Amino acid sequence: MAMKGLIASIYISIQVESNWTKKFLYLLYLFFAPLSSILIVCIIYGFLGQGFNSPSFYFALFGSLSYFILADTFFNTAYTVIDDREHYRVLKYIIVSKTYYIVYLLGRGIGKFALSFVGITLNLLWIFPVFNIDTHFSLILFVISIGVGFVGAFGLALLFSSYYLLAIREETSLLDVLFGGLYLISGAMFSPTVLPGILSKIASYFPISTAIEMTRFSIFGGHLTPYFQGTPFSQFMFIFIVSNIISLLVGLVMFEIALSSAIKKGYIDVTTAF
Amino acid sequence: MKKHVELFVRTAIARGYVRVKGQFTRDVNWLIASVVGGFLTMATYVYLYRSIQAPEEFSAMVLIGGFMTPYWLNVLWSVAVQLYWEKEMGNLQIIILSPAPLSAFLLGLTIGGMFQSTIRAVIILLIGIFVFKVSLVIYNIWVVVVVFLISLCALYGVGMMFSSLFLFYGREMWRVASIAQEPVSIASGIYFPIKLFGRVAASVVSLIPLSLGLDALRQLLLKDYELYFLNWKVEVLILVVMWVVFTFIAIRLLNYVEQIAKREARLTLRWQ
Repeated sequence: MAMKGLIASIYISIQVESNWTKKFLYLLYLFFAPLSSILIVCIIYGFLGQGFNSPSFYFALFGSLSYFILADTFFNTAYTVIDDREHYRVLKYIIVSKTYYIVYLLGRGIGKFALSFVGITLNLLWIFPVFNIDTHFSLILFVISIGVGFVGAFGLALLFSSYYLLAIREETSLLDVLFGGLYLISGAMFSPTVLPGILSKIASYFPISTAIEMTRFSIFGGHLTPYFQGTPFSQFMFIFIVSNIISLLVGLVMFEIALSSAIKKGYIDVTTAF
Repeated sequence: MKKHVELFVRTAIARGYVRVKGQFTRDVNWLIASVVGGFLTMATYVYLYRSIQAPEEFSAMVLIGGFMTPYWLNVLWSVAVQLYWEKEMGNLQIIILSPAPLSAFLLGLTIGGMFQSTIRAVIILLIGIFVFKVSLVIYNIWVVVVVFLISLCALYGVGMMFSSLFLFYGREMWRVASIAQEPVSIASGIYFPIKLFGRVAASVVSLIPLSLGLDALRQLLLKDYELYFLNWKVEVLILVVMWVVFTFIAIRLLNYVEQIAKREARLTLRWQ
């Protein structure tokens, strides 16, 4: 039953994201979606920085691409609660169904992740030949980085979904703060070592930051900036895995607490005309 | 005639009042969150420029870009998409059926939105100046204010124009808006001067009022600023023309929307 529910929610996720237009046009949309991230890296690092062959350019380029997948998964999965409760008005039906809501959210997250991954892959087809990038690609490490990164992003999504379950307004103000804050400490665009003290420390242990750096490591076989440079690989891998697992565990616990509280308080079918 | 004018003004005030009053009562947490979020996004680009050891002038450019970002977001998500959202909430048909003109409704939205965004923009600017120790120079405050207001009028003219388009195309346009938000921010020169694009590309992106407005403001606020595209006086003239043209198109489109809604009962019903 859980597997059926998971597959159904993956299907729903893909349909919700794509059924507003024809499939071919949606593929084009997927292709163009990450382009703004790529463009800004090209302009700032390519024209103002050290050029298109520098480690800092590769750092920012692949950081932005990884960030696009993980952040997209995180934000969209967290927002699913509001979407289901306010826009589609199906949250209570999903909760009373035989599918656990966490499994449903996991399916929505996997669907979104898969679509973002397709978008990035389409762009990588032109990025590698155009910029003539040399890599030391490790498939196993790449799969681990993306998989564990998804786990961490999903955990964060559960944490913020738990907030949205208990906030009975279409409260998107938190997303504004998260978007800015996540972008700052993610290490996507620049090495977090340039951040002041405490922010740099947070970035060293934040799940998405470590996942992005592990993805870069899997593509280039080393660290491109002072971020984690000098840290033994085993220690880096340990921090990466533990931070993402902790994110998932905290998310699961908070979500369960919030969901049972929301059901008791009757929040699961409250809508706001706001 | 007097009655029409009175109705127009009262509608605009009524719609704008909600946005103004809401800032200090219902939406305080939204205000705080958008200021913090906007500041953090701006900080990302300041640290990015510092990481590549760009001149300190770029930090000041990002600061001014960060100041204008709330206006751009307000135009896109609170003006352009507003009619679509009113339709989704079921209010649009009531608005259309009322004697109040749709253009007055949008004007009120625009004025209220400008007020909302100004609070955010000023706070972000002040925090940015304090945290990053960026210095701006103001040779003539009234010139800066006039240039700023003209830029806003042109920008909000675009928003009013797009509000009708969003209504026609519904969910597709919402998706296009979400995908266009970042590229337009980049193309407008929020994070770097549009001169870097080259003459031809910069001319194309100048169709976005935000890019010319930002370029003009940077010339007026940054000492010895040389990375400008056109002289600020030329840019202001272009912005005035844009303002007139976009507002004219917006009014025509809105009248067309009202006609379709009343005559054919299309566009205004939820999920239509």
